[in-house]
Amino acid sequence: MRLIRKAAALVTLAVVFAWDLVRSSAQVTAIVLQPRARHHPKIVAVPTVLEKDWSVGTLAYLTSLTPGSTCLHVSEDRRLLYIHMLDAPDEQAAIAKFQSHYEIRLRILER
Amino acid sequence: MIASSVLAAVLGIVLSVALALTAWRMVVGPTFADRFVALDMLTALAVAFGVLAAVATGRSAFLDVGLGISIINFVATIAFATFLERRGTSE
Amino acid sequence: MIGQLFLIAGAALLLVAAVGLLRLTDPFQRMHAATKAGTLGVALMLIGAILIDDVARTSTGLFTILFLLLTLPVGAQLLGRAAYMSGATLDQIECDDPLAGVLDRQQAPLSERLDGTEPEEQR
Repeated sequence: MRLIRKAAALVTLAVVFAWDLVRSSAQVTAIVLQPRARHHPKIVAVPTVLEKDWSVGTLAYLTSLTPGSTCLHVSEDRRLLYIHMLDAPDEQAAIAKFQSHYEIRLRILER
Repeated sequence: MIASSVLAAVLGIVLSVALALTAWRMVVGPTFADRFVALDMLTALAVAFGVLAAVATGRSAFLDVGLGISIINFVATIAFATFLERRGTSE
Repeated sequence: MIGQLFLIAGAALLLVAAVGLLRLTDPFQRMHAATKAGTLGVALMLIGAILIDDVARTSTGLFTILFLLLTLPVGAQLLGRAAYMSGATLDQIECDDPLAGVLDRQQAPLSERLDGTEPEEQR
């Protein structure tokens, strides 16, 4: 039962991530081609509840692979990820996006 | 359905424009980080040209060239980041 | 046919990345455009080349894509952190910077500290 949940989480993570890749590529394209710069680049500190090293690493890997967000640094106690975002008008919404898209699924995989 | 060689020629022109823009950023630069991001882009373009050559000639050996370039690029990125962190932060 | 569409999409993404490299205003934003959009464009072009069937060797193409996707985040993270620590220009750093005090950051970019000239005009 637990194995099935993990497999489902893995598959949904892959699908969600692939979709995010396409969508954020389109967003970066729109930002690059807009006539006047209207985006808000920002460094966001994203708190995470993940415990294992490999899951925090995977979260940083996934955020760094999407265009529009780069993980710059992970704090020593692995509780905070410092992510530079190309367009983050709303900090809380960006954090909520990371948590609802990746963190929940990684949490299931972790157990 | 377009002939592969024609498509490769047209895309080669598109990539040449990208190459010119990247070279401009490399020259202008203002900081080292800018120049290195431009170098990263140059290697990506080199791999892309390799792919186009493979499509145009039908020889898959050009894909091997792309693999080699991307491996060198990875090592170069890490070496440069280490340089920037050491040389950049010690007074 | 699908392979050719992939090739065109990849080349377009590379062009967008180059334009972004020219237009965006600080090294971190340029990295979003160039390193990531550029590499994803190359990956798309490789998929296209694999799908066009007279280019025979599929394994090399797949291996290159795998290698690119594995190394891209590592390089981006190292380069971004090094750029931050060496004091590369960063837009909107004055209003809000959660990294301040976590990582050491130099006041001016390395190139300016090396030769002591006036800061160049930011394009």
